[in-house]
This record gives sequence, structure tokens and C-alpha cells, in this order.
Amino acid sequence: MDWLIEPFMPIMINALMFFYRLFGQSFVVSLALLTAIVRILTVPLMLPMQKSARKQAELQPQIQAIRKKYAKNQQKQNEELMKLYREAGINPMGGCLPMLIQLPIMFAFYRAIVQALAFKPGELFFGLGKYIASSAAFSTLVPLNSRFLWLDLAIPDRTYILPVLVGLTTWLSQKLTPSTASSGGDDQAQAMSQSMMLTMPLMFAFITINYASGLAVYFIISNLVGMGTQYFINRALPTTQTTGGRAGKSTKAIKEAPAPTPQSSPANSQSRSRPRSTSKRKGKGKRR
Amino acid sequence: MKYENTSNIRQDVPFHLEVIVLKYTKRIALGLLLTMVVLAVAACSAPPFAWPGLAADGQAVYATLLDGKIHAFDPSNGSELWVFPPQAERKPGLGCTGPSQTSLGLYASPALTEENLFVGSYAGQTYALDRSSGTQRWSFASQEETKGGLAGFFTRKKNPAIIGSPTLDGDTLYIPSADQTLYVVDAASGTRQWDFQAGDAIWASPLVTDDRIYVASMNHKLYCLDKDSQTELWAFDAQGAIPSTPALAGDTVYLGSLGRQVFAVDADTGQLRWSFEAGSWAWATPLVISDTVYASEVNGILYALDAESGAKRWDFTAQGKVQATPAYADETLYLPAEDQNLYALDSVAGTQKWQFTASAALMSTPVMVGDKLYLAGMDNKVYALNAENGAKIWEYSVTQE
Repeated sequence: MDWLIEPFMPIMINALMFFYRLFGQSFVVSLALLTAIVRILTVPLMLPMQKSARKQAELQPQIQAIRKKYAKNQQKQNEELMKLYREAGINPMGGCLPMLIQLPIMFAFYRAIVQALAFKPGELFFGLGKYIASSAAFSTLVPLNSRFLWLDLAIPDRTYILPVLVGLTTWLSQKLTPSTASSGGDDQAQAMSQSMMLTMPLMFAFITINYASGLAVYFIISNLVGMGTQYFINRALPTTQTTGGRAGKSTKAIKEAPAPTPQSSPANSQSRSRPRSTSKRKGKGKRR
Repeated sequence: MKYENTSNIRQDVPFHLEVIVLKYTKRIALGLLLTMVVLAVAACSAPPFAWPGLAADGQAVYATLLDGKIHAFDPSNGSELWVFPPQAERKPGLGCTGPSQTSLGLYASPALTEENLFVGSYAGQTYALDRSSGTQRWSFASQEETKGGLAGFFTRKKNPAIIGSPTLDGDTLYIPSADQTLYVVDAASGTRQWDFQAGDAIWASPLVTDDRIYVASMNHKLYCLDKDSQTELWAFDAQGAIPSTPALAGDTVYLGSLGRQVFAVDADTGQLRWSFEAGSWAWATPLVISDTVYASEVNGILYALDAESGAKRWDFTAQGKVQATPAYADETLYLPAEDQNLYALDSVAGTQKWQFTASAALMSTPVMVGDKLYLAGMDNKVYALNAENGAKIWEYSVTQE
């Protein structure tokens, strides 16, 4: 992973130190500013992903119809789906690539936070020292003031307040972010989305129990900034009229979707899965 | 959400990707989460906590290695005499701060007496061990905490790590702690006598003379205390954190700081005599031999400075970073570096005599006993070299559990 993260490290560390020096040697202010900047700078990477998700949501009726029509012919089904995506101008990888591109940036940010808060000789020497040992401006700032409220940002928060806040804000942030699955995806995708909706906040909360609390503060700020930017993205992007997802406002689309022919859908599959999926979508629509 | 019907569907449909995906949704989600966790942990993989520490005399060589233990060796052949603690007490931990790698975390160089050995741990314990057997005689726990509100719910425990070696002065042991306190304890029993609050972490061993105690703190200050009254006489601002012990020669104290400077300070008054600006952090303790101060910066440069004026006489650049103070004997400086090399240099001219290449970075000050030079690598290897020519006499390697 180092080869992927390392190119971003000098930028992250120096930016953290720059803001730390500029704003009264407050690590939390420095962290908040840089988090906001990074999140805002990565919005252009997020937009294609979200546009793609919304387009896919709009196409769900057609996608479902194709899947049912060619349920027994996987190759044909894939061909038709790809054709549909092409015609709609959707690149299936368009959603993943931007996310993959920003991963090293995020990981470099994690590492920069941890290394900036180093309080062990090895961490300071091999970590932060690698980037700022020659800097006249930043060398005198070491060690950074890691105190914030009741916290020492360099060590885990033993009151467990931050891990709870991380879990809560992660959950809220996910609720606000549309995905292909949540905005009208099929049953399987929705099931996965729901599973992630619960397990992701728990996992992040668990991670922050053991990590430096500075990282937890970062997660919280990042989630809050993310929710703010998401609010504006939601306003900027056109609302989809689809299958009961949060982006859509009604279940109109699914009702108007072409019904699969009896021949195209296996009897049992139709009798079991379709009614269940419809009712579930309605249920989700109500919950939201 | 239950998917109990999927098995029925599968019986009726020979191949249906959706059904398979549906059935394994939870596993897929779990797999994705685990992948994220692995990536997150990899993203903040921690560098080594510290580096090995060494102490030696004619009886034995003692090394605190990166396995978090102290090892005693026979100086003649490198055979292990004992190890403390004998069994690792692994603590569960995940992530960047996780102490998962080691047990007690003994990294500071031990301090030796005729019968005892004193060493501090990252967990804040100082141990007095029997030198011959490695059995524990007493331990002292340092743990300062700041009381918080809500019936102590917000009580903040300070980092109790002992990073610098304890300093022994007669019957008294001076223990520097990252919890900002210098603990002064009775060396025979480990009973606390008094302490000094430095305002920030103390990583360096204190320098103790007949009547003074010099304490370097990470809050940029070098404190001079009166030994009898335990009061502060003066404090010198080094314009950068001071991670290592100052050196005393005559009436001058020499110290390096992370503010990229080497200072000479009047030992009585704390007045600045001169300063030398290095190109990067001056981490190591300066070495004073006769009228020359040898001070290094972390970017791998060793400077020879005039002790009176601070004027540079020569410099030598290693290929890797330098953290340790060089060892000295017979007009030869032995400088370990991160590039895995131990450089033997002419102390007058600064020219290289020979070099020994280890199998990992060399970050610790070598120890000279007689004509043997002991050094420890970052891969848990201890070497005994012929100080004359760098020839290896023996090598010991610890196998990590």
C-alpha cells in the first residue's frame, strides 16, 4: 500500500502543519479545515459516481424487465444490459473508478493524522520526521498540541463518546448518500445496502475505539462535511422519479414498468421473489 | 431481513446469478467490510515504536530489543544468559496505536550497578532486575492522571511511557517519564522519594551531577534543578523539543533540539554561549571529547564543532538518517546509521576508516567494552565487533514469537 499512499503524504503532512501553525496551534482546527478542503476537492470525483447511481436508478424498471425477460440466458441478459447502459450513457465502472481514485488520498490522510500526532520516538523519527525534519517553519512546532476538550488526540478515547459519534455520523452520512442500490436498486443490492448501512457505522465505531482519537475526530468532521456537501449535491442534481428510493418521490415508475411475460420468468421465482420485492420497496419508501 | 426462500428458488432454477447473490449477500457485505478494515489498517501501519538500547560491561551485554524484552548475553560468545520477561504478555490491540506487537515494551537502555539492572517500559513500569539471573527485585509504576468531571468519567490518563534510561546516582534512581514527570526513587526498594513536573513529556535520561539535575523536556525547555532543595534554578528555551540527554563538559552543557540547533549553555546560569544551526533535527546527545563537540542531525550529517565557539571543523555525511550518538575510543568515532552501516571515522580529520554493514538499520548508540564494540540492529540482531577493524566476532539473532 505504501507506494500508493506515499505520494500524497508530504502534501497531507505539510498542509496539516501549515494550518496548525496558521490557526494558533490547534490540531482540531487544522484537522477540520483540511478535512473540509479534501472533502470539497473530492466532490468532482464523487459527482460522476452519484450521477451514475441516479441514472441507474432511473433505468431500474428497464433493468428489471431485461433481467426477467432473459432470466434463463445470462449472456443475452448481460448483452442487453450493456446495450441499455450504453444507450443511456452509463459507464458501469464510472461509479467505482472515482471511489478507487480517492481511496489513496483518504488513506494518506488517515496516516498523516496518526503520524502528526506521534508520541513515541520511533513514530516521530520515522514518521513525521521524514517529512518535516528539515523544515525551519514546522520543526519548532513538534510535538503538536494534541489536547482537545477532555481528549488526548494521540490516544484512543476511553470515554467511548467519540466512537459513538463516529457510528452515528457515519450512519447519518450513509442515509443521505444515494447509491444505485438504495435509490431504486434491485432486491439484492438493497439487501446489501441495508446490511452495509448497519455494519459500516458499527465497524467504524469499533475501529475508532482502538485508534488515536484524532482519527475519530477526523471521521466525525469528515461525515459532517460530507453531509453538508451531499445536501448541495442533492439540490444540484435532478431528482429521479423511480422506485421508492430516497432520490425518488413515488413508486410510480415500478408500477408503470413493463410486466414480465409469464414465459420469461420462472414460475417459482416469479411467485416468490416479485411480490416480496415489491412489498419491500414500498416498505422502504415508507420508512424514508 | 430473512432469505429463507432462496433455497427453494435455487432448487427450481438451475443457474440464477441473482439468487446466488441474494443468498450470499451478508457474506459479500462482510467481505467488503473486512477489505475496508484491512485497507484502513494498512493505511496507518505504524512505524517502529523505538530502537534497541544497549548496556555492557565485562560481565555481560544487555540489550533491549524490538521484541520488547531485555536480553542478557555472554560477552565472549554471544550466548543468551537470560531474557526478561521470559513470556510475552500480548495485549490485544488494533490499529495505529495498538500495542499489539509487544508485551512490556522495554526499549530504553538499561542502567547498571554491580548487582542490579534498571530498565523502564512503555507501559510505565520501571524494573529492578538481578543482573546475574534476570529475576525481578522490584517494580515502580508511573502513572499520572488528570482528574476530570462527571465523577472521574473524563479523567485523562497521561502517556506513562518510559523512553529514556533511568539515571542512577548513588542510591537514587531518576526515572524520566512521558507523563511529564521525573520520578526520583530509592534504588534499593523502588520507593518514591520526590518528583518534578516538567510541563511536557520527558524522553531523555536526566543528567545528574554532584549538586545539579538537568532535565530535558519535549516542551522545548532544559531545566536545571538543585539536587538538595529540589527547586528549579533556571530553564533554557531550546526553541524545539529536546528528545535526548544533554552532555556536560566543564562548566558547559551541550544539547541538541528538534528546532534544528545545537546549543552550548552555561551550566551554572543557563545563559547561551553559542548555537549551531543544523540542516534538520539535532536529535542525538552531543558527544564532547577534549575541545570538540560531535553533534549529528537526523539527515545523516555528523558535525565536529569547536567546543568554545561552536565553529564547524568538519562534517561527515552518512547515506542514511542518524539518531544515535557515536561511540568513541582511541581517536575513532563509531557512527551508526539507518543505512545499516556503522561508520568508523577518524575523530580529528573526519575521514572514514572502515565500515561495517549490518542486516538492518542501526539506530542505537554502540557500546564499547575493551576492544569490543557492541551494536544492535532494528531486526533484533546484536553484534560484537572488533573495534580495530570492524570484523564481526559474534552475532545473536532473536526469533520473534
